[in-house]
Amino acid sequence: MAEASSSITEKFFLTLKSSDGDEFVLEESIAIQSITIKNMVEDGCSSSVIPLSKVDTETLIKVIEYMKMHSSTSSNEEEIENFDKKFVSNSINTILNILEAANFLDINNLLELCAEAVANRIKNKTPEAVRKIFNITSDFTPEEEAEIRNETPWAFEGNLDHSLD
Amino acid sequence: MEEQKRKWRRLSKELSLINNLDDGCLMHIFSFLSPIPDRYNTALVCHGWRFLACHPQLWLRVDRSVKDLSQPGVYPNIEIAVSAARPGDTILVAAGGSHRVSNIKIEKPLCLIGAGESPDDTTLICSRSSDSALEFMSTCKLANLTVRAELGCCLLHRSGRLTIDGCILQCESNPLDHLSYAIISTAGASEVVSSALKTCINSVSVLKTRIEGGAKAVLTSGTLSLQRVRVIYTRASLFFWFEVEGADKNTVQSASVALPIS
Repeated sequence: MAEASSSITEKFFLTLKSSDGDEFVLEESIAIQSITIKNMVEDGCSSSVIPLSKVDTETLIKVIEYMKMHSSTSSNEEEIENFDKKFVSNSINTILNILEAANFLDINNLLELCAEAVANRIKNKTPEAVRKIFNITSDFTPEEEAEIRNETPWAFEGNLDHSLD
Repeated sequence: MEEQKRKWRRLSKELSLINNLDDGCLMHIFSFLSPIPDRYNTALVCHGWRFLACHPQLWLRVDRSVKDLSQPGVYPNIEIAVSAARPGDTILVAAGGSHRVSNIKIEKPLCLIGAGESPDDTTLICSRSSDSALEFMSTCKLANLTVRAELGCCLLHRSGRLTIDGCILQCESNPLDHLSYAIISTAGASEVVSSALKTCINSVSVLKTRIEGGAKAVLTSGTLSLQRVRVIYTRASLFFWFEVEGADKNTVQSASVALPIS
């Protein structure tokens, strides 16, 4: 563990601790893509372990994978593009967990990536299919639903996808 | 024990993971969706989603006072906002002052809403040189706005279902005001859209709208006719409710309502 007071050229390392108690050591230059962590470092909390109580191990591994790929020195654009494509093909629940973590850690481009991935799962689906995909129970009565459809019938005239892919 | 607890927590979390996200995240997701069909469909998923999918933050705004145009979703005038809008979008027109509009063609389903407390707060002015303030070729809604025409008409309806709710339509009095009308509809009763073999029904619905000046409130030059007219007289003004829609062949083809002289 390097102290924050040594020279700039030296590599600093941070330790991130997931909600499951697992610890990950990461270069500071990579970790500060997260504005939340950056602020913590600037406030001088970096010498000890940084606890991330809202991020579980599985999610944190993915987030670190993403940050490593996106840190400026190590990867070229094409690699990053391919990585992102593969990254969003994770299961929807994994993506949602990562999205929540990205929001908490304030990693803007990861948040954008995940939000768009989730939006892509909603596109062109019927409300019923969307409920199934995301495990949501409708709290509308059939009357309410009919009323909403009646308000703007022209908005519901297109052909929609009933599948759950 | 600990392991089981963890599993249980994860399981219960997954019951509806997406609704565990904070509203900001959900709004962010919704901002990637096009209004038609996706945003309308998300509004039918559950009450929480309806609230967010219809939230004004996802609307476009017209605000002349905004200097910083890098702000997403803010436009300096109605024309630019209309051309930037996606089908199904809602455009909120900032209150105060008047917005110059002339012959703006609206060819996609849009909703234009005045941001003021009453329609008087937001005025669209159509200058002498133009035929109409707004021209509708698609299903649209206009709410809480004042549209004033110096000459010509306030609204020109060519096709689609147009709804005017809680607005004020004014034709300025001038020597030629026998030529001006609040609404002109040139639409036929229905037309078949070739691609989808769908019949699109044309109509104009006016709800609780003040109509002032001009020769007539409505002029129909197509095959639509005026129906179900209701007027409420208040001390200061007249409020209109009526429909302009396709009628039986037997009824008069070109109908119009004359305004009582005030």
